Amino acid sequence: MRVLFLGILITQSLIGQVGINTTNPQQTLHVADATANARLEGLNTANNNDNLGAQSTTRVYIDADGDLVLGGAAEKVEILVDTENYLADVEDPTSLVNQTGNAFGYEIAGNPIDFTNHQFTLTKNAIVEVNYSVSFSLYKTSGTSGRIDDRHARIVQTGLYFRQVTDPTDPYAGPAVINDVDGVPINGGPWCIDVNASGTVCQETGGLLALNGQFYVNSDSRNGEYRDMWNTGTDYVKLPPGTYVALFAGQLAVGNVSGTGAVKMYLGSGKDELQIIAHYYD
Amino acid sequence: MKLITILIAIATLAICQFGVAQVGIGTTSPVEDLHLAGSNATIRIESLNSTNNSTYNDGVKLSPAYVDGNGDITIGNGTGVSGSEPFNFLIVVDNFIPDDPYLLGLRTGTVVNSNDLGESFKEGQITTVTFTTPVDAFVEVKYGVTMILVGNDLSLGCPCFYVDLDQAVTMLTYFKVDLNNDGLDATESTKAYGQKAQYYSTNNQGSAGYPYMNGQAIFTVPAGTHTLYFYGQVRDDAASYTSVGFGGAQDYLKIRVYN
Repeated sequence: MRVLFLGILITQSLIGQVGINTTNPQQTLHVADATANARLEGLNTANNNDNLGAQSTTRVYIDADGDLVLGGAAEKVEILVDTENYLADVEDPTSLVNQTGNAFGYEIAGNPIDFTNHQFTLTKNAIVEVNYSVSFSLYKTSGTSGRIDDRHARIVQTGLYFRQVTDPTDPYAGPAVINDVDGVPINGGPWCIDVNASGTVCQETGGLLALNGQFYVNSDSRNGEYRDMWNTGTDYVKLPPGTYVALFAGQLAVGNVSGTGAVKMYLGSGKDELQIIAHYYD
Repeated sequence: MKLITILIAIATLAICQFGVAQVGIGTTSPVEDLHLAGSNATIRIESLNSTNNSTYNDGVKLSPAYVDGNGDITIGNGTGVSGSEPFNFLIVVDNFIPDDPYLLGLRTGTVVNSNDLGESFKEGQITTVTFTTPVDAFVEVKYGVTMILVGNDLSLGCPCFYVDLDQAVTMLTYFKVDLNNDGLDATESTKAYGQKAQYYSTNNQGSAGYPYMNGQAIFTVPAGTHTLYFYGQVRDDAASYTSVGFGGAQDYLKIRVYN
């Protein structure tokens, strides 16, 4: 028994480090030579469905045991929100954006239908991608002859901003996110996301993302499409850990507001697509 | 004592074996320096498991593996603490087109004119943006460019007039990629990325600006410095004057670089 014990000790001591192409290994396993590599057949494309194939490189992960494994896509990219109808389909004061003449400031509009499931939490820094298609309608009054009929070009602008969630039942309770993780104002902001009714005073600022705008013109009060229109935007921003909700702000601009009277825009009156994706870089 | 000597000799022989060029485990014909055969074959590195490296391996989620400067397999938090850093970052270029390039005190952006003397199409370069990547990478570009439209040359200043009333004109933006920042060659010139177009028409009292033109595209670049060339196009009736300023208000440009 004494002899056997000694034998094991010696073996462990001498094989503590293994060198391939070297007699002076610097690590437990040291594969030397300028072209040295290791092949793990358990990770190849034939044996492992998470291998992206011969034309690609696939990131390798370490599991809890320290084993080299594949299949950690969720650790790199995560779809946080993916919905086919984000904002409530209403045309009421909660979704209203009033027309302003000189394009000063935006107005907050729209309520998420499923705030409980569409708030999201980042546990670490992330490059957050937003892709949205937000619906709107645009008219003077909802009667049969209430369409815009002045042939004046109007600009429908929309942007997305984030709020921190401080109340799990109220998407508007928390402060708007103005800066990215580096403390830089988002997209050259702060942006005015809530201008007063007369379009003169900014009541709240935020960081608008994925700004998009299009023109609208109509010349017949009884004919012409005025609903089922969409603005589509896409953008990136770096955010720190926290719980957030995406919300929208809109702006309806025209050269001169005196000719036609009040014109109303409602955000989210149709179905709104929203995707929020985290690309983790830590 | 004799037995001990034999054991030492066996152990020494085993080490000599590890000096050979290629090592196979589960195979007698290795094709790499270290070749682990078998459909479940992998390597366990206990220094990186959740017990020994709980900072970066929580035992629940998989931890991305990298190699450091020595080629050692490692895990880290992405800030370079352990010599590892995933290549995945975002370049933000706010308002990447000058608002007032003609020094008029007007937010014109870069102007492209289609005159009323027979021109029905005009293209102009709006701006260029240069960026650098230290390694081969995928690049994704997302941009938003503002526009203003008038019926007289905006680069000369205002008074400004409407474009011909009730006539539709169209505007388009896109960009080209100059790899290695050595000028657009024939191939690079033919490839237009991130195209976006919309139309405009108005009567008196309409709005002239600024809606956003948004486009995005993904492409690959080698390590080095590269330049994006942004262009604007205007199409109108040959007898109409249309002057479009691209980038007069707050524009945005995001360049995501990763591999």
